[in-house]
Amino acid sequence: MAADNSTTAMQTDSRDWADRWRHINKILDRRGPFCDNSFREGYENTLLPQCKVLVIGAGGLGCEILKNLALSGFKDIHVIDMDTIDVSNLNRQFLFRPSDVGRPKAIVAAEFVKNRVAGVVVTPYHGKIQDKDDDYYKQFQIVICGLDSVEARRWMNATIVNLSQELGEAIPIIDGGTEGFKGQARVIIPTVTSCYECSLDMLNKPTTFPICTIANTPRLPEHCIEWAYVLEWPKVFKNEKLDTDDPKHIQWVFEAALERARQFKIAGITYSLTQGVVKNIIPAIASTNAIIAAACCNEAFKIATTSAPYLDNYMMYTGNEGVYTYTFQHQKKPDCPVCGENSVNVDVNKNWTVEEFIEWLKEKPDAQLKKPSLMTADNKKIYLQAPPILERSTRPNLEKKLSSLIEDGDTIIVTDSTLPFSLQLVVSLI
Amino acid sequence: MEWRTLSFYRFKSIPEKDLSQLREKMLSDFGNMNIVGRIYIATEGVNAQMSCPKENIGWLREYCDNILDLGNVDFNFATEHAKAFGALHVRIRKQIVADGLESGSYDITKQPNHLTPEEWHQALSSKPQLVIDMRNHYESEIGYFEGAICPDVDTFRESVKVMEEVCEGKQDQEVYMYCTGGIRCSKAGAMLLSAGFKSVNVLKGGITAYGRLWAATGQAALESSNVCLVNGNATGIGFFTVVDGRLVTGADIGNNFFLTLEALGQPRAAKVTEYLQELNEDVKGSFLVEDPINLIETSPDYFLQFSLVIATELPEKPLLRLAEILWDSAVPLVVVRSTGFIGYFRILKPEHTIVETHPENIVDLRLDKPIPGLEAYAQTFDFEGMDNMDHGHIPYVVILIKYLNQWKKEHNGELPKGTQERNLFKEAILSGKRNSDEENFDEAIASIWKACTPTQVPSKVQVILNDLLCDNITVESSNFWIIARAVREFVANEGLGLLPLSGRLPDMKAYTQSYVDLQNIYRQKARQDVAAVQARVDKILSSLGRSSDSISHEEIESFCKNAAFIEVIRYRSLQEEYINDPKKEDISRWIRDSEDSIAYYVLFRAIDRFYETFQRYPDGATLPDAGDDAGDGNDDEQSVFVYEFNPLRKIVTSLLEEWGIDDSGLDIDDYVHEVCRSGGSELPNMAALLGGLVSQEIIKLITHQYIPLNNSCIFDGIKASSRTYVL
Ligand SMILES: [Zn+2]
Repeated sequence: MAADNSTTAMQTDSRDWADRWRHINKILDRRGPFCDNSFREGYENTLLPQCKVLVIGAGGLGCEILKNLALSGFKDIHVIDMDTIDVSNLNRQFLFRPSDVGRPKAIVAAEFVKNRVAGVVVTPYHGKIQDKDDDYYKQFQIVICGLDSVEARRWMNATIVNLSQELGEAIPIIDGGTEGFKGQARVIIPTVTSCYECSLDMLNKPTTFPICTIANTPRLPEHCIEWAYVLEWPKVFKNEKLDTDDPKHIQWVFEAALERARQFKIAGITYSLTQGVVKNIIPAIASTNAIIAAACCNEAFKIATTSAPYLDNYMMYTGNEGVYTYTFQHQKKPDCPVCGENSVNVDVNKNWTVEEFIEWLKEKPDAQLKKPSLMTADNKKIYLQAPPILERSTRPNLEKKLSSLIEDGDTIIVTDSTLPFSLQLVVSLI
Repeated sequence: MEWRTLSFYRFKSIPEKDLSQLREKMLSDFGNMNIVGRIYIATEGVNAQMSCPKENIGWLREYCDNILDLGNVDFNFATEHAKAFGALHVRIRKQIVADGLESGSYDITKQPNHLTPEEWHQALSSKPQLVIDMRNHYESEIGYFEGAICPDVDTFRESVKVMEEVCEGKQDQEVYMYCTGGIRCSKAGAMLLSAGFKSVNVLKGGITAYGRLWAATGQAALESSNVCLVNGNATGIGFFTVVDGRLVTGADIGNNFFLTLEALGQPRAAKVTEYLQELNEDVKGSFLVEDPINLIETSPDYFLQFSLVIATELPEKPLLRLAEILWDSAVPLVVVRSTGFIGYFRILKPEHTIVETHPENIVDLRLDKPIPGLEAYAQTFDFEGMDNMDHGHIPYVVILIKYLNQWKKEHNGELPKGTQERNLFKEAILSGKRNSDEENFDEAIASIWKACTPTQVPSKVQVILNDLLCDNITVESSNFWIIARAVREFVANEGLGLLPLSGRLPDMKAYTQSYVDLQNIYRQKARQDVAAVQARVDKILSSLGRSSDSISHEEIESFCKNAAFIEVIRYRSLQEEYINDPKKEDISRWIRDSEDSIAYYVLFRAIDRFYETFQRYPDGATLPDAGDDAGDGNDDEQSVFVYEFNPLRKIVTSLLEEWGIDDSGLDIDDYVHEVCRSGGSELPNMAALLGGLVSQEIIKLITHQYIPLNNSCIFDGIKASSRTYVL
């Protein structure tokens, strides 16, 4: 019987050929010493044949993830990406060819994988994750994020965690991220493990330069870029918010910074540096992407097959000096606004104005808000960023002391356009 | 708007009467696509340089292919992307590239060989006689290929004249030429071929294409590397050769993204080469269908042609032999293996030197021993006489020098020593701070520890400078050791006991002008140091009979900049690890740590022995007589233990015994069981993960940048964690 195992299992698809799954079946047809009790031998007893897996992002990480999933025996893969292929993607994102420049990443990647791996269905969606609703997301058994944006990951995390809570059934999220030689892969089991929001304070705070340097004494190309988008942009465009994803906006910042650098005889402004400073990104390295994507897919495979325990719950990786990983259990934050208690207790200086309080919120590393709006629990407006008519009517509050608007122990509800959830702060005035 | 700047050209016959209509069409269609730039059309074809909004590139592609019918013309994208033109011009010309010749005096369809950047690079490394730069003098001044003839001309017409002069009567020689985008050479090449030249080679896409590929430092070394893959595959390199004697199986296709069913039964080496090339069109590959074990025995020298060899799936004996051959010729070897969720790789190279280790911070301010000009510059700051604005912008370097001088005056020229003195020194600086906003004083305080630490040659670097290879410089010495020797002499003489200065100044609060002044002081000293080291290198080179340009100035400059962070790794050989000097004590210690993964290393060694005994690898499901006792899973499990587990477990015990490790009480059965279960299977995710790790280390080895693994790594895919060992 054992001799036949390799050819009997996983031959559910007519496009399979002899020995196609020989390697994977060795793991799936035999119980290992570290296997979970729920493991049952045989491909058909795993989740693989029916598992619907969603991949967020079809960039450097996403391409690798799609390829790996298809080769690991996943049959029903979905992918979302809002970008189109640019020349600069060609060397790192191996599913794309020069003739694909200008076409949507999700669609090209899906076609490529479908053509290469027989029997796999890859369904692309070219658009934003926010276009889709709970009904869409709840069809998946695993979600893998290969994104480079903190905001998109926060959104995805909050959406899936909330959905899991509502369904009473956890949809695991596997999150991968890379930055130069560094990367991380983690498994989030909503309500059980810590979530993306719980670990927000682990992100490096972006370097900030003092305003007076930017305004008066620039020395580095970065100073000129900061000048252009922190000081010049609001001056020129008044109410229009700078959208870091809009190339037109970045181009404007780039040109303004270039002009300023010329005045101060500072060299080194490039478009990519501008993008890097404004979006705070470090260029990706192909090998780091390959490592992190493979680590994520390995976890997806283990979850779908129970052929080995999955990562509990965080692996950090660094590759600039030898090879280094640190695997640990990241702790759930009891007052996490996404997966924890609904409200957070904060101590606030009773002399602070509303504006000072907002500044403090923006600096708070575990909140990372960009433009918070504040209301009280009984719907009194403290300060609202939008729409303009409400912003104007609440603006005078900015100068008032917070203690003149709320009582000690009151709850403030904080919302931010970039977040799919609100923070509830129980304020102690001290 | 995000822009893409690109150029393309096509020689194609356009009837003269159609030109003005084509011009109107282009003006309106390109205008609608928001394209700006300069386009020349002529009866001989189209030549365009343009900036196109990023989102319209797809349209442009379609337009060129289907409307203009330019036959899938190559777009040459520039490396910098900004809007490079103000408006759109389409001009009708006599020729798209003016050559000053009568039309019909040569045949434009006689096209020269268009070499890809790699082919070009390789061709030029053999130093051909006739390399001509077809650009104008202001273009070649930016930089040109070594040995190229660069005519001092302003127009292509003149370039053509010079080309005809230098090529006169050399019809049988190989001619190489290049220009900015490739178009001028297409024409010039056709002229030479029409004039009877036999071999004319041009750089495809011109300097633009070449530059794109070779932009990053280290990239050059990488792309020109020649890697040999024994039984495996990897990516990211320039030239590779696959040696594999086996045929493609169904299992290979199941595991390999780029193999399809048509490959079944064909030589693996050929198919793997094909797909690696598909992965990156710029990479060149070749293959050899032969059993590597055979090759190692019969023609070991075959492997010495490579700059690096990667070996997977080799049994112990041939592996040891291969390692020995390569070791003696200093060719690096990377050994890779995996089974199920477990991966292992090991680097072997007698010596690896790194200049560009990319430390986080290479700042060297020398505050305790101010460099020339610094002291005097610091004196120009009259602290007391300044208004608050100026005072808040004194660079912290100047603040530290002032207070250090004061301190030294009061303490017999000594720096603050110990915590207590440093605290006193901090008080002194704080007393000069006028208000809490003076960040420059905060920066000064944050750097006290560094300022009070005497500058000296780091001990790690001192060890390298004292190395035997630094003592005995011979014609065999590598550039690294020659420069290291020069630096050692520099330290002993004009360096006054210190390494060459890095010249890098950190960012600090200051007026733009004073920051630039300081930067210049540091840079000037760094340049002087490089010049001094250069002089010493020249002297050494001439004593060795090597030409003074055999080590480039850039290489010396880079060495000086990174001098405090250079690294030399001496790997242990496989011979030492396996036979002469196994790391018994370390293994015995590691294996008692339940969190450690060294047990898998022991297992990999054990399965090699298993193979020697049984001529197969342990595999729980391919039991010789498993078919006889068909039954429930338990029986299978039982036989696994009898046929696979037990003998492997015994081998583990005897292996550990050889190393003097008593395995009673060791929790090792689960590892043995897991390895039997995985049966040498290669899981796609583990293969991709190992591939990523290995290619990253190979890039480090070939480019001599960053610090590579020393020397073994185990990745445990069950726990998602890695461990590294010196074995
Ligand atoms: Zn959470």
